[in-house]
Amino acid sequence: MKKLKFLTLIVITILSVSCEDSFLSPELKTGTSGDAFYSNDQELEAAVINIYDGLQGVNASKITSSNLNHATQVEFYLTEMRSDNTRTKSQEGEAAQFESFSIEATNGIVADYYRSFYDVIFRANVVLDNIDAASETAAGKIEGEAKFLRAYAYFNLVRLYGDVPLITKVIAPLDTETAFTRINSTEIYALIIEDLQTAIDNLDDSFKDRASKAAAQGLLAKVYLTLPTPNYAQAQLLCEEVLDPARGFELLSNYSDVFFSERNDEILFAIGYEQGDNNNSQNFSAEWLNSVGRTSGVNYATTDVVTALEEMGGERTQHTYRIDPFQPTENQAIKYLPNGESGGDNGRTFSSDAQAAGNDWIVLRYADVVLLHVESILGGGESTSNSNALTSFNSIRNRAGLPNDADGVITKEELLNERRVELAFENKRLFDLIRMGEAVNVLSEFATTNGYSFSSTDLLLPIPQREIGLSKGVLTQNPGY
Amino acid sequence: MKNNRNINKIKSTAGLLTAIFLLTISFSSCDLEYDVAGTASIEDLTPPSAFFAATQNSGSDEAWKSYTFSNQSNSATQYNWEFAHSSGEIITSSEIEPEHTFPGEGDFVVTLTASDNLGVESVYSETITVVMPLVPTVITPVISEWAFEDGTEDGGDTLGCVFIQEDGTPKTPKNDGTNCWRILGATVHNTSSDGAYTVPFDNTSGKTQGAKYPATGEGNDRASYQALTVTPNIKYVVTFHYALKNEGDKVRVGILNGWMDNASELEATGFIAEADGAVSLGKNNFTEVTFEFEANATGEIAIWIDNVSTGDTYLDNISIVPAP
Repeated sequence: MKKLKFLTLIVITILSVSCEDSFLSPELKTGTSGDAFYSNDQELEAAVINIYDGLQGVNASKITSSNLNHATQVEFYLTEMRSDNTRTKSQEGEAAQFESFSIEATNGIVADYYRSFYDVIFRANVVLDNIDAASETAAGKIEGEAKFLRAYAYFNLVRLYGDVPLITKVIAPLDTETAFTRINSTEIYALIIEDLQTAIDNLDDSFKDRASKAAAQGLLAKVYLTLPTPNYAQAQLLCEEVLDPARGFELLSNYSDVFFSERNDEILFAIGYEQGDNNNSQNFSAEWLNSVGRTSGVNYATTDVVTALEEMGGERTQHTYRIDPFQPTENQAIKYLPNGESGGDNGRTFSSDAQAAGNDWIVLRYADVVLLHVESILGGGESTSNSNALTSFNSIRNRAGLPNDADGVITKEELLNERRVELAFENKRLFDLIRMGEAVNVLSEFATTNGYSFSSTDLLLPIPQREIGLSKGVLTQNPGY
Repeated sequence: MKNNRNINKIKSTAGLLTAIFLLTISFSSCDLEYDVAGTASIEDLTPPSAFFAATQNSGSDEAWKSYTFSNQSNSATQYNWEFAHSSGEIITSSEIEPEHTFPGEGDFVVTLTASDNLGVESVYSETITVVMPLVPTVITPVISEWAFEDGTEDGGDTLGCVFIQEDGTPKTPKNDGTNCWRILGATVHNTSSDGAYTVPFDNTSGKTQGAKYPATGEGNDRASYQALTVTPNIKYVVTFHYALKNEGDKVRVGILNGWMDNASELEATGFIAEADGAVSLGKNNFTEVTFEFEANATGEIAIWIDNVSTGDTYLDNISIVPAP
């Protein structure tokens, strides 16, 4: 009997408690939750900063758990090392798959970057889903910033992986259909253009390590030139707006200052890093040197790029690569020496922590836009002698201590070469070759010379096998993998 | 003793089970047959799929005839390409990504057969239409009423311009050499019989109709505007003839960096290039002016003509042609 009474009491208690609505979804009183958090400008601003944090990526030397997102810090593997500019020093391991065009769908770096950039998109979508909470005065800027960053992420994904899933809002974990259905790149580009237009309308030029109007215009110009059917006129107009002296951008007279004086007049958009701060520093500066980072040395200059730099680089050459002081048969990229330190006589001795470098990663700079201006006037042709194109082209050459173009006619090849030596080791080369339709020619020849095997399907990375596995058969692989 | 007996029991049970087990094996083993796995005994779960994309080459004179083929097949190990020429000849290749030169313009069927090591095949074919790329033509803009003549013949309104007035209604064309030169916010030029000879240039006058811009600042200011489309970023030469009555007067021809809806947008639009006629030889004594400009990114430009003068100024025979 005693037991029965006790049981009855329990049942009654349960019943009475369960009558409350919030029993199964109690309101969180002791902390914050995603559902209720984004309720004012300040909280949305925090969410915007969170997008930049995603882009920054985790410093793998300082926070070593695997499967974290390293985002921008591993971008050079997928871009520069997949071009004729750089390779690993050891030519071994997963990292060496890039230089030899023999990437496996299981490559961890390919999966890392893919995951990282969808994380950036997720973070941007969080802001955009909650934009209603912003005040009227702040809404435009917050929306513009989030859309610029989302467009930048999609632009990188669509150029690297081809058709990719298009996610424009925060989706539920079980929404496999949206998360894994590959959408035609035409639609991806349509979103990129729309997002960048919004960014242009809502932003000004007050930041260099956050989104700005100039950055959005420059990026959109590049997007217009990258489209399967390029829009040369729109690209030219956008470049000319950024080139307007009233905007305050210029080529620095000293090329080396571009990389070692942060937020200078040549920067349109850079991803900021903080020296010595485990959460906000980067390790790629160390990785590019001889066993200073976790690897024995990656993103080392190829003989091919060294020849090009010696031939056409002018004053830029000495600030772009050096002979590895520790291993004089090899050549290192030196635009991002950790915290501006050369590493002493052996190139490996630093007073600061080289693995926690603060060098900002330059995404877009004025010189890039100046050469995009030439490219838009060239308009897909073989050459141009237009005076505006020549003015832009020669300004880049003159800064490097080189004379004006000799015959007053800029050919496509000259433009590609100029871009190569001006923007070497800045993750531009591969995209330049693809955009100007020379990737297959140039990379096949490069592969033959170096004993690699290249085919045109190598221009797209594989979709990470891990994602295909998660997709329950929805996500399809790129040809050739 | 009790314990011992139990052990014996267990032993005998175990013996019996073993015997049954062996017996079962020996019986059933008589029925066992093994198949050696042969070719195609297991279904090909990853059959090949053939696909390719073709890109026309560019560069030197004959480069347009050759194409680079991008092999986008999946799960295949061998490839066979067939390029069917119109002569009936079929050229084959087993390269992964061949480059092929076609004999010339025409439709050619290209077939790719991709197969894997199990002998499963997939075929994809596509007709490639080889066309010699057009040499980009440079536009020579048609300037309607270039000689400010009446009518709709050459020199007059060959395009049939209709001017939309302030109230939104179209103005009835007068065909008097002013149809195409009007814009809101400005009064169009007068026409005058004191124009220049038409081309070729002759420095005597009175032969054809021309445009007249009277003294400025007296409430009778006049200007002319005509929107044109040219090829972006290409260099053009502008030519016009003018005559001035008084010393110190000038007439201006400018190329606007875009189209306008109203003359008030003049300053915001700005000139790509402009030239003044400022040599005063008196009425009926015309001077020829030429100047160059480079078209903007869109190719949307416009002609603007106005004057600063104390007396009548005359303008005629305006042309824009690509620079040689």
